[in-house]
Amino acid sequence: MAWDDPEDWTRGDPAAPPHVKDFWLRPDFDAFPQRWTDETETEERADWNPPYTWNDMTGKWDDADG
Amino acid sequence: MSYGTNGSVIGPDNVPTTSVASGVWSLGEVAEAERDDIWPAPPTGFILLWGDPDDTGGVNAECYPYAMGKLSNGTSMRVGTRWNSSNANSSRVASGTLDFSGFPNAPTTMDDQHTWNWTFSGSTPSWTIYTEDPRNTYVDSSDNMYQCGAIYDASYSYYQAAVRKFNSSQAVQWNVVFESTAGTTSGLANQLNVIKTASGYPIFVTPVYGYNNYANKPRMQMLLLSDTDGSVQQSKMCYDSADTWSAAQANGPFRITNPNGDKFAYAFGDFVGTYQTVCVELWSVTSTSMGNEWALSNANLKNNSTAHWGGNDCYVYGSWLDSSNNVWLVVGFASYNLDSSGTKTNLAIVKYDSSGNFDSNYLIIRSDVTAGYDHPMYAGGIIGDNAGNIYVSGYSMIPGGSVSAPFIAKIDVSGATPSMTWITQAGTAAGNNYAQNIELVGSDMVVSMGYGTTPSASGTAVVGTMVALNTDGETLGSSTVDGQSWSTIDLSPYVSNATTHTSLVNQTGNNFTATNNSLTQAGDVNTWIDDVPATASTAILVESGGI
Repeated sequence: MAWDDPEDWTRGDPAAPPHVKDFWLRPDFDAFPQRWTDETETEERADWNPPYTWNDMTGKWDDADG
Repeated sequence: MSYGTNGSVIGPDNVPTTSVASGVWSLGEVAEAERDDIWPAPPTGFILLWGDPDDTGGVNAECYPYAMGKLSNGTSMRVGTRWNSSNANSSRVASGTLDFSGFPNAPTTMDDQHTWNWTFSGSTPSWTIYTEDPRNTYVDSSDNMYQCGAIYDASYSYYQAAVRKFNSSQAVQWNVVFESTAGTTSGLANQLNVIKTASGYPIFVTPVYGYNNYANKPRMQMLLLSDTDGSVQQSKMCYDSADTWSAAQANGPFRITNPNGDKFAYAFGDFVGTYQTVCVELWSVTSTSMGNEWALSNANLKNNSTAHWGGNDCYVYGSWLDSSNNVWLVVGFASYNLDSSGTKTNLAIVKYDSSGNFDSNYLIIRSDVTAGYDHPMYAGGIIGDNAGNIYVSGYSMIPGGSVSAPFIAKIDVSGATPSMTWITQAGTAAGNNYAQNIELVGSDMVVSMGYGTTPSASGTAVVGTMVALNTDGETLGSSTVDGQSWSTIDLSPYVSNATTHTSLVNQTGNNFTATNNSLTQAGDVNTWIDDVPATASTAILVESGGI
C-alpha cells in the first residue's frame, strides 16, 4: 500500500493524508455520467440527464433519486 | 543551578536517562554523557500529540485537528478540531487551549476544552458534523473565537453550514446556520473558512452546489456577517466564467488568509475543464460590503510542466497575507524528477504582490532522487514573520522509511530571490503523521499542526500531531512520545530547492467572476449541544516529548 495514493485508501478513513481527503471532495468529471453528445438538441438533454450531484462519501455521481 | 554551567548538578531539573553517579560533574563529563545519550541536553523543541491515544473514549474517539489561532497573550494557542468523543457520540467540533509559554518545554494538558454539536428531530445521521478544513477556527484580537462546520440535515438531504461565535471564555455568543436557496441544489460542500477583519466583520466562505448544464457543481460563496448576531450583511458568489460548461467549477482546496487590516486574500482550486488551477483574489471589507482589489480573472496559477500524466494541475494548500498585502501561497504540483526518471509531487512557495502581479522568482522544494530520496513532498501551511522569513509546513516520507512525517522549512525572502535556510523533518516509524498548518509563537518558536496515528490499545488511534521547533533550525535529535521513538532530522541533504525553473506560470484573462446574490438562507437547527468543559470520559489528552 502506498500511503500517498488515494486509490489505496478507503473513503472516510480518518487516518488518510490531507491531500487524499481533498481528492475525495473534488467531483470527478472524468466519471460524469453524461449521456448526450454535442449533436444532441439542447431541449432534449434535460430529459436524458437528471441533475447529477457528486457524493464525496461514495465517490460517485448521484442523480435525483440517489 | 542550571545545566551547562560550571558545577552543574544532577537533580530534578536535569534527569539522566540512565543511572549515573550523583554529585558534581565537570563540563567534560557532562559533554561525554550528552554525546553518549546518557544525559541528553535540555530540549530545544518538542513533539506533542493530543486526542485519545489510549482509546479511553472507545476506538472511534478520534481527533482530526485542522485549525489553530493564537491568543492575544502571544504564547497560547486555541486549537480547533473535529473530535469524535466516543463510540456513542461521534463527530463534534472541539476546541481547547495549549499554553506554550514554557517553550521549549511542552504543555502537558489542553485547557479550556469545549465541544459542540447539534441535534435535529430526525434520524441519527442528522447529528453528523464535518469540519476538515485548516481554517475552521479563528481567534480575534479580543480572544473571541469563531468556528464553522458542515452539518448534515437528514430532512434537507444535504449539507448545511453552521457558524458560531464564542467569547474569550468560550461561552456561545450566537449561532447561525445556512443552507442553499438555489432552485436546484445539493447544498453546501465541506470546505469551510471563517476569519474576522480588523474592522470587526466576520467573513464566512463556503462552496455551494448549484445547478448549471446538468450538473450540480461547487461555486464559491462569501458571506459578510454581523459580529453582533451573525446576520448576513452581504452575500457574494464567485464562479467560473465558463460556468455554463458542466465541468467548470470551484472545487478546492479553499484557503482563506489571515486578515491584514480590512483586507484578506482567498485562494482556491478552479477546475477549468481540463486541468486544475489556483485562483487568487485580494478583498477589502467595509461594514456592508466586500470588494475585490484585483481583477478577478488576472491571478490564476497554472502548472506549466508538460511532464506529468496528471496534466497541468496545481493545488493550493496554504495562504498568508503579509503586512504589505502581498499574498503568499504554498502550492502542490507534479513535474519531472531532477533526473527525468519519472514524475512526482513537489511544493512551491509563490508570491503575488499587493497589485496582483505574479513574482516569477518562486521557490520549488522537491525530493532529490540523485541523493537517493525518491518521494513526493506535500504542502501544508505557510506563515511569515514580516521580517524577511517565510515558514512552510508539509509532509513526506521518512528517508529510508515507509511512513509519512511532517517537515518545516524556513525560507529567506528578504532579497529578490528566495532561498531555503533550513528544513527539518520529525517522524516516527510507528505511524504516518502529517502537517496541515503552521504558526509562529513567541519570539523563537515555529509549530506545525496536523494529525497522524499512534499505536493504541485496540490498534491505532488518530491523534493531533504538533511539531514545535526553534526558529534557528537547531532543533534536531530524538524524542519519545506516547512510548514511541521519534527522530528529528535535517532533511536538506535529501531535497533540492531552486528558483530556476518554468514549472509554474500565471495566466490572465480567463476564469473568475463575482456577483451579489442570495443563495443562502437560514437553515434548521433544533438544539445545540455544548459541553464546557468536556467531561472526563471525553477529555482530550496530551502526550509529549522534548527534542
